[in-house]
Amino acid sequence: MFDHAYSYKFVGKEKGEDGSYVAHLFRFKTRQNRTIIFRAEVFDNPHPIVVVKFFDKAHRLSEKRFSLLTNTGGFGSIVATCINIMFKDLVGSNPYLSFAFMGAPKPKELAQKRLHNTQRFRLYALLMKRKFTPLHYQHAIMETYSCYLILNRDYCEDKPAAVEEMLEALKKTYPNEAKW
Amino acid sequence: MHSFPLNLHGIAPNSFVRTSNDAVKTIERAIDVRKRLKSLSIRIVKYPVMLVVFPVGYLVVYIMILAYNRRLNKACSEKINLNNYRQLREELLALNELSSKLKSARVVSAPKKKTPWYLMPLMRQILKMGKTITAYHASIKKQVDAFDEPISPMPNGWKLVTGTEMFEARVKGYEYLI
Repeated sequence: MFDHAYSYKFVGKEKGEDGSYVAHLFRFKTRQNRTIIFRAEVFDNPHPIVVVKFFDKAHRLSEKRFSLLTNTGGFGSIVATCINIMFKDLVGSNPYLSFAFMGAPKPKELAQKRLHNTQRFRLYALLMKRKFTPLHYQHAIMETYSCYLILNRDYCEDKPAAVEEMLEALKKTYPNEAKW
Repeated sequence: MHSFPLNLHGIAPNSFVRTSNDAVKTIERAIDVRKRLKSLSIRIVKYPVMLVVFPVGYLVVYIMILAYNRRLNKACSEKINLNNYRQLREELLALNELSSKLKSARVVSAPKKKTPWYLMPLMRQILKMGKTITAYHASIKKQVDAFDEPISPMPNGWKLVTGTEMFEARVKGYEYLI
């Protein structure tokens, strides 16, 4: 299910509203002819960390774009492509990157205002545990808000304050989206 | 446009994986041989012809274990190349199995009578083998445990996913990408 990945294209870069990050945009087309936008928001200051997001291009103008479902199947290949991008393009360009993401609630969960341990979070967490080796990354979760952190061992090991500073930077940039 | 299969980074087995597999086989053989030698020594009283076979067989087994011990010592003292967590965990599992086998062998072999004098040199070699394996087991366990320790204190609300949890979440066919 998660073995097949689509080929993707680098679309460009975009500066964040407050200038704290640079978003790297990628695009790929699914078998069901849906265009998926993958957005990697790369923070360099104070520490290198990437917040990864993806959504259907058709939902790009919606506020709930991360929650909406395409209902066309092929979810495994979409996630596999995103992991490919994370490894090949992002880690390839900077091996000291750490990653952060949130398992957005599905529309039903959103209606119930449920952020705790969402279905997406559970699925992503399982995949990340299988793909990011503990030799190079340390994983941390916050189930209350379905947040996931993949810390780069090589970078963070000798910087005890790095995690807190990374989370501080995320809190500052996304005060409403996720409770880092 | 980029595309590459997800299992591309599966890494070939390392030398340290072979060590425990070899050790499992050899220790089983050694325990088996020791038991057989013991039964043979009992029968020796009944069949005097065996007096000729026994010293030769004993010497062959002794030399074999001696040579193996040397190989094992060399293999265990080599620096372990850590680039595949899955293999490291599998090595630990194999060593756990091996240690329990060594323990059970010790229980089985704990005789009420004293070990006969002619089996003492062989026993000494087997114990030496056991010691090497135990030390190697401890060093692997230490390395695995290091990956369960947090690299820095986590802020409130964050829970660490340990290497053990990650290893349990793995599924056959999924390889770590780095």
